[in-house]
Amino acid sequence: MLQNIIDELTLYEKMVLKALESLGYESSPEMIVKTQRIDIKAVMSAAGSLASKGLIEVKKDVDEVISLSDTGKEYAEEGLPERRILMSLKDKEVIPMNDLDTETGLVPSEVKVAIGWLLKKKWAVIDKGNVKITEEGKKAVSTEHSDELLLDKLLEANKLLLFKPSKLILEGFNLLKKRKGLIDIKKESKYNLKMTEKGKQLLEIGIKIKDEATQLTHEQLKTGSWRDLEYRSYDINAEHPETFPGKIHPLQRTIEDIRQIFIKMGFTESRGSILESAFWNFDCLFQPQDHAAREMQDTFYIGEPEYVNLPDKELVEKVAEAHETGGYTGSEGWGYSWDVEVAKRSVLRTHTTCVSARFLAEHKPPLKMFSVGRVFRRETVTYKHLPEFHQVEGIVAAEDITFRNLLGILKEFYHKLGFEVRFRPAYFPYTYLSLECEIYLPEKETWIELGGAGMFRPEVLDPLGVETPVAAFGLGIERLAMLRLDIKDIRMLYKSDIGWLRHLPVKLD
Amino acid sequence: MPVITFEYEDLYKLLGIQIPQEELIKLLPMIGSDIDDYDGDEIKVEFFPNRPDYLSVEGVARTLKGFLNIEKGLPEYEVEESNISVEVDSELKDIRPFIALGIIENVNLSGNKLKQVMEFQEDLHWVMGRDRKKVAIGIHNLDVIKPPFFYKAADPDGDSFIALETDEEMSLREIIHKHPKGKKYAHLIDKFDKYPLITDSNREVLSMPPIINGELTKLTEETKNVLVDVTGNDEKAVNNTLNIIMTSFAEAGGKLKSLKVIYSNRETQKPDLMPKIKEVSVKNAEKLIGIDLTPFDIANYLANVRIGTQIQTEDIVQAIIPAYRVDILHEVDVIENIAVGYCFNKLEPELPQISTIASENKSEILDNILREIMVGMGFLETMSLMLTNEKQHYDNMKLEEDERVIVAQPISVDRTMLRKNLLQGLMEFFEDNKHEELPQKIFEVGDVVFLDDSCETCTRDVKKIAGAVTHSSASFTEIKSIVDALFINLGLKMELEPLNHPSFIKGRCARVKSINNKKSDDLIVEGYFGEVNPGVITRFHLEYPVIAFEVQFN
Repeated sequence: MLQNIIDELTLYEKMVLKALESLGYESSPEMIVKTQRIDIKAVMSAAGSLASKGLIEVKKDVDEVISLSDTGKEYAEEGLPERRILMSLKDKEVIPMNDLDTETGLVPSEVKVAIGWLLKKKWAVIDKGNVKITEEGKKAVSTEHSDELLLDKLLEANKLLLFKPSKLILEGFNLLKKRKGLIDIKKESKYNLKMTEKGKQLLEIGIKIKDEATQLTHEQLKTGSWRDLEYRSYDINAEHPETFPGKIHPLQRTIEDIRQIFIKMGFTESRGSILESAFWNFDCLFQPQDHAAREMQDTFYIGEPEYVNLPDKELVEKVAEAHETGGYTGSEGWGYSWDVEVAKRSVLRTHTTCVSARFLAEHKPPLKMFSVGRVFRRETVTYKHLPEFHQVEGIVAAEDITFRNLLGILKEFYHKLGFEVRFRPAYFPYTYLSLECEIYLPEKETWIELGGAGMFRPEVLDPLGVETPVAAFGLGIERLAMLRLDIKDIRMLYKSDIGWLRHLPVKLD
Repeated sequence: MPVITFEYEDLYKLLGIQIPQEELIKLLPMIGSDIDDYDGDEIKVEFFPNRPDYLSVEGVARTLKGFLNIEKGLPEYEVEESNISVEVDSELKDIRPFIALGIIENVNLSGNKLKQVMEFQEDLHWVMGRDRKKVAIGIHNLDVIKPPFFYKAADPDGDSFIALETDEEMSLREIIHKHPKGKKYAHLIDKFDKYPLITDSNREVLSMPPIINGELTKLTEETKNVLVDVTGNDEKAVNNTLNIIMTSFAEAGGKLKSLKVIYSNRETQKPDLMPKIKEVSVKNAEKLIGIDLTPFDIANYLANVRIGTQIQTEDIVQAIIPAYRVDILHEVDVIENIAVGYCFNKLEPELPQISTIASENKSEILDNILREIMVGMGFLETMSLMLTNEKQHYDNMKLEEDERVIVAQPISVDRTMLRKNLLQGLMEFFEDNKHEELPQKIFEVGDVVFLDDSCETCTRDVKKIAGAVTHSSASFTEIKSIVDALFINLGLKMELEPLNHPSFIKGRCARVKSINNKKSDDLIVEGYFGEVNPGVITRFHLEYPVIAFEVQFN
């Protein structure tokens, strides 16, 4: 039974018990610190657990501790002001009161206080405006008063426990206490550790302490000395430095999740060019040349290179016809005169739909394609908008693709992202059966718009030589990332605070 | 997108019934709108620009009547010929050639109706008119003017009139210089020697399109009969706009009359509210929407969205499209309307049964490899905008300006060009985080854009990666070791030579290139690394050494 207790003793507990044994079964923790190489925290924590096992008793007393203030220190070193006057009086016996400051170098306020104490200590008397030493004062020249004795002691010891003080110390303490700001008084807890009978029995059985080590070293492992060493236990709750791992950017992580969804759904990934001709960005998507979205205020037109090349003539001519009269597309067209120069203007692509158009020009259905990329809109930087952001775009082209298939892909896509989705009619110049997707936010109990879709119009497909229906959809990625990261300010994503990035968990809910 | 605000009461009056608010806010999105706000007595709804007929509460009510079974199918409007004409000056041919006028009798503009008409007109100016450039509208009090009317090219200094919201007569030239609307829209006509003007038979001015109407014909709450003028450069848009306005007034109970427009070589009677006919194939509709349909189903669903029908054969249905619908260009648009009339919510989503094999883009695969290597070395990924400015990109990096993609009309001085390097973005990141704990190790993978005449877009997107480290003892050896690790893990060997790069300390910068192995698909990687120049460090207000690399992939 007792042996079990011994086995479970920690190193510190053993050390405290051993120390108490050598100190006559009773000691203060401070004494134990002095005899053992452990700190006070460890002693106290060991004492606590020893007490709970009934091996020792811990008594706590609260005492007053006094120490010197800065002024107190000065007086202890240079003497109390009344002492300084007394030393001047020693030779002169009588000094006019008005000369006291120049004689002693004390400031007038100190002189006033000093005179009070001279009289109280009966070292001098006042006689017609003069200060005159007394017999008591002459005796005092060579002895120290009780307050001065205490000052000396404090100067030497830094602080003093006011526990069962001697008469002299108590007297000095009472005197100093009357003066303002010479001593600081604090309450301090004092512990006493005492071995119980059970503890003594344990010691009789015997407690062994092995040598202890802090760090496991290469040397110890090589020589085998680790076998004889006890490794000091650590406080597992102590402070530790932070580790900042390298991480993928949270927006990139969202992009990656989206890519993986498309790849799992069998989509081929494509990429396009950041700078595009208005032709690919607008014209081949059947956006009329006077369409509001094409205006300077919404689109970044480029000054250098201002105009770029167009693809092969046949395609350009077919697109022109689709705009003007509908051509062979079965459409009425927009009924205006299409200008090739306008189509040559270069823009920063305003959507990734131009990537889909280029892909369709080069690939034959059946196909599934997606692309992720940056797009540009002429917006100022605010918490809500940026002049550039990421978009993902997907198309599915096959002979028997239907609008319900488009809804099916969308539902699956948003479901994989963790959202419930619903659809409402919308409008895009390049699609029919156009719709907007709204996703449900359970915590806010609202639906928000997150992405558009539709079937590419014949005016888009015919010039590209595509003969099957094409379902297309796209969405802005930043908005989705903001929802997942629970941030309100889109700028966080591009002008990131390193603290935020460092502390953001890699695994998000 | 245009937003219209209307009161529930106005809508209920037009519908003839009250419907619960919840039902309304569920129904409105199904006709193609986004509800902005629906508190209080008003509702704010955003419509798409393809449906300018929804810019008045009358237009919205018209469609809702179909969905609510109050009134279905093609709305019919009676137009009486008025015997009034407008004569068009042939000199307007190159200025603003087209005009269409219509009369509505028995209008009620009392209460908030007058304000609504003004807002409707302004919204149409945007959506149909492209801010009055393509189409401009004037609505006049018919009872103060005397037909016939004249649309003429007028001498800017010869004619004068009292413009709306003024009390003094000004010449046309004075109006475009002094009147607030004149100044705003002067750019549309001030390049011409003559300005468009509409007058009556007493030479009283109705309007100076597309600038301003005359004070004379100003509408008031008491106005009973109105004349609408629409002018513009695109005859189809002019006619469509008039149709939208006329039919909207008709929904509110107005009586419509047409006028004769006399051009030098032809005459037309406007408005012409003849519906447009489009044939739709039942098979096509079934195939594209993905549901089973009969011609009767199609007729029924189209009736919901106020399109009339005539069944031709088992497979062909004629859609009879009202004159205010300007969005239907193709059979597929009719098919879209069938689905809208069916209601998107009722369509069951269904995954397609096509089998395709996925493939990732090679460039994205490489990006992820780069990320894995950098993150493994303890680097934090950052992302920055591709749009930057010359000061940040060149000046702060101590680089000379060179050829680059330049934005024609930047929205701010911060975003004037596309980046060619990534390093300045990393420096900016350090600057933003200068008070955060060191060391900081960051990287970015991304595209930059170079000019390249040999490409279709005259530019080439190039993949780059840059990394940077800052702490008190960052050194050349540290960054060299990092770049070496990057190359080794890309399966490459690096080749170094000294480089004088203005962004780096002289003698502490290296040009790095991958040594070409025999394999043809080996990456060609080149760039530079070193200790960043203190002149650059201090321009970003940093106080600790920075080491960095940047390489590109060809």
